[in-house]
Amino acid sequence: MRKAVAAILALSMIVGLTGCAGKKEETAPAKEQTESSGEAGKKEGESTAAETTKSAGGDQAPVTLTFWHRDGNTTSNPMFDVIIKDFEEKYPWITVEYTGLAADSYMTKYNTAIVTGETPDVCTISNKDLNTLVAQDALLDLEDSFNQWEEKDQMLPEILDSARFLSGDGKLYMLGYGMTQETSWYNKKWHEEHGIEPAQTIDQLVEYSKKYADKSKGEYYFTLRGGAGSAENLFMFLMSYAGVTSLFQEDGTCNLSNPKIAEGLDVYANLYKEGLVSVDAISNGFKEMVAEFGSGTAQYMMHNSSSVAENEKNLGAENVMVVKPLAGKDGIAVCKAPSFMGAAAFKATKHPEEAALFVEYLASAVGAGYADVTEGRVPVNKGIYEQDWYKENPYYQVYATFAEQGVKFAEFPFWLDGYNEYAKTNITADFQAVLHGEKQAADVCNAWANDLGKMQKEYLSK
Amino acid sequence: MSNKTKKRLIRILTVNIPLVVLFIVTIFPLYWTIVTSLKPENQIMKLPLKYWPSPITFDNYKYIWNNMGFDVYFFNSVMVTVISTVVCTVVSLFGGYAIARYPYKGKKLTYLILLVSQMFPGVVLMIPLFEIFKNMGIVNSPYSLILTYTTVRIPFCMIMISGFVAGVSPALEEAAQIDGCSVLGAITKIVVPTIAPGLVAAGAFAFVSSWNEYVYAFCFLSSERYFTLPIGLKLMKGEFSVAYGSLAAGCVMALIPVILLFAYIQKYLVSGLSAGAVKG
Repeated sequence: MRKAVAAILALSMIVGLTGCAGKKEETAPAKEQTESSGEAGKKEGESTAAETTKSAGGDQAPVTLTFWHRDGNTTSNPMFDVIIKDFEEKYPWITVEYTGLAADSYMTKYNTAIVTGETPDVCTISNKDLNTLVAQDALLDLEDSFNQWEEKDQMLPEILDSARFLSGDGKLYMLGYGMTQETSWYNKKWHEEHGIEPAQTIDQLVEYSKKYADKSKGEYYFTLRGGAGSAENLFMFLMSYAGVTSLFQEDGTCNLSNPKIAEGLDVYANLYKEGLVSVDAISNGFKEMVAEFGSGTAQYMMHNSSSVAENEKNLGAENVMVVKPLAGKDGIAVCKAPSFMGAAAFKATKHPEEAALFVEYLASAVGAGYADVTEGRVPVNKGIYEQDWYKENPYYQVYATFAEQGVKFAEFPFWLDGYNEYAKTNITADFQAVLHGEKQAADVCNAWANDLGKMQKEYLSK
Repeated sequence: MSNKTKKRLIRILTVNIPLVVLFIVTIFPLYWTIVTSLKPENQIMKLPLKYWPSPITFDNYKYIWNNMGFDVYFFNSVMVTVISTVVCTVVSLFGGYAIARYPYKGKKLTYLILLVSQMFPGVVLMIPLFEIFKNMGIVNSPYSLILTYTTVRIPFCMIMISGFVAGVSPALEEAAQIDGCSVLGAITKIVVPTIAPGLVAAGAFAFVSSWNEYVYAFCFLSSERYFTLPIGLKLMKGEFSVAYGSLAAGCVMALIPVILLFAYIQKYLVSGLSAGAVKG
C-alpha cells in the first residue's frame, strides 16, 4: 500500500511539474492572448516580447484575436484552421486564436462570458441568437465598417435586412456566411433500383410509404421526426398540406387552427400509427433521423442542406440527392425560411477594427465560399456564385429552382420570446401524444394556435 | 426428471440465465463502443450491422489524437484529475481524522454543513466561481479546475474518511505515541495503512468525478490548449453531424485510465465501500 501511495504521489508530482513546465513553454501564445479582450486578468505589457515575431507584416502592431465558433466539430475545426491560416497570411499582423464550442451549449458559454466580461473578440452565431445577444448589449455595431467593405454589394440584401430586423434596433451586428436551406433528401440509388422518382407531394409520400414499408425487414420509405426538433418538419408538412403559407395573419391570429391543418396532422400521424415509419420515429431527433436515412432503413428524409456531410459519408456522394420539399394538393410546398449563420464581434473587444476585418473575411467570397462548400451551406455572398465548386455543385442547382417550383418560404416565429422553448416542450410533447393516440389532432392544433396567437399579439402590441 | 435435475434447471432459469442476460445488457454498450471505434467512419451506418469490425482500423484513434487535439485534452485531464485527487485525498484524510478524533463545539454543525454543501447543483456555483477565479487571474487555466474539483469533492471524501478513522481504535495510535511516534507519525504509520480501503474509495470517487466533469470545465476554459477530455468528446457531435467513430474512439480513450485504475484498486474498493457503509 505504501508503495502504491508513494507511486501515486510521485506520479502526481511529475505530472504536476510537467504541467507547470508545459505551461511555461506555452508562454508565447498565452501572452499573445493578453491583447484580446478575454484576458483581463493578465498584465498588458507581457505581450510585447512574444508578439514581436508577428510584426513582420508591416507597420501595424501585432494583434491577437480570440475567436469562438458556435459549432466546433470534426468538420468545422479543420475548416477554420484553413480559413484562419489564409486570413493570417492576408493580414500578417493579426493572429487568430480559435476555440470550437459544443453546438448544444455554446449560448451558455456566450452568456457566461457576457455576464463576467470575458467575451472573445469574434464569434459565430445563428440568426436565432442575434436578438438575445443584442438585448444584452454585447455585440459591436458593424454598420460603419460594413459600409466601407469592398464586398458589401455582393451580400444578399434579404440576409442583411433580416439581420437588421432580428437585432431589434435595426443595426447590423452580424454578417452572414451561409444559409441552411430546408429540403428533402432521398436515396438516389434506391429510387433508381425501384424505378421511381422521389416523392414531391404529400400524396406521393403517403403512397410510397404504404407501398414500400416492410416492418418485418425494418425498411421504410420515410423517416419521421417525432422527437427533438420535430416542430419544424411538422409545421412544414402541415402548412404544405393545408396550403397555408404563413403561420400568422396580420392581426396576430395563428393559422394553425385551420381545420385543414388538423387534417394534415392526422395524415402525418397516421404514417406512424399505421406502422409506415419506424417504431422509433416517435423519439427521432436529428441524429436518429439521419441514422435511419444513412443506414438505408429509410429512403426519404425531410432535413436541411447542412446534413450533406453526414449523408454523403453514410451513403456515398453518388447515392444521395436533394429534391424540393413536399407539396400539398394545390402544389404549394411550404418550407421554413432559411436560417443563416454568421460572424459577429463582441463590443468588449479591444481591437474593433481587426475584429471587423475578421468578421468581413469570414463573410467574404473566399472565406465564406470555403465554409459553405465544407459545411453544405447555401452562400449568401453573391461572389461565391462565380466560384467553380458552386457552379458544379448539384445540390445548389436544385435549391436555385425551389422558388420557380412553387416553394413558399415561411418565417417560423423565432422573434417571439419563449417560442424556442414552446416548440421544444409543448409542441413536441403534444405531437408525440397525437402519435400515441392520446390526443386528438384538432385539439392540439387549436391549443398551439391559441398559445402562439397570444404570443404574436403580445409581440405586435409592443 | 430427478430432483437434482429439477433443482439444477430451476437454478439455471432463475439465476444463471438472468445473470447472463444482465451481463450482456451491461457489457454490450461497452462492446459496441469498442467495435464502433474500430470501424471506418463510412461503415458504421451500413446495414446489415457488423458485430465485428472488418477491416479493423485505428484511424479514428489516430484522427482524434492527431487532428482533434485529444493528445492535449488527455494530458490536461490526467494532470487536473491526478492533482485534484491527490490533494483532495490528503486534505480529506486530515480533515476526516480531525472530525473523527477531536471533540469540539459545533461538530454536528460542521458535519451538517459538509453534507449540505453536497446538495447544491454544481451549476449554481458557476458564475460566482467564475468571478472569483477571474479576480484571482486563473480563469482559462487548469488551476481553476484543480481548485474547483478539489474543494467540491473534499466534503464528501472527508465525511467518508472520518467514518473509517472512527473505526480504528485510538488505543493503536496511543500505543504508537508511547513508543515515540508523533501525531503525524501515528496517522501515517498506523491510521493510513488501517484505513487504506477507505482512502482508496475516497480517492476513486474524487478521481472519477473529476475525470468525467464537464460543466465547470466548459465554463472556465476558453482555449483549446487547456480543454479536458469531456469537452473534447462533446466536439464529436456537431449541430448537424455526429462523428460516431471518433466519438467512440474518444470514449474508449477516456475509459482506459478509469478501467486501469479500477482494475488495480478493485480489492481495496470493495472492502472500502462495505466497511465505510457500516461505520460512522
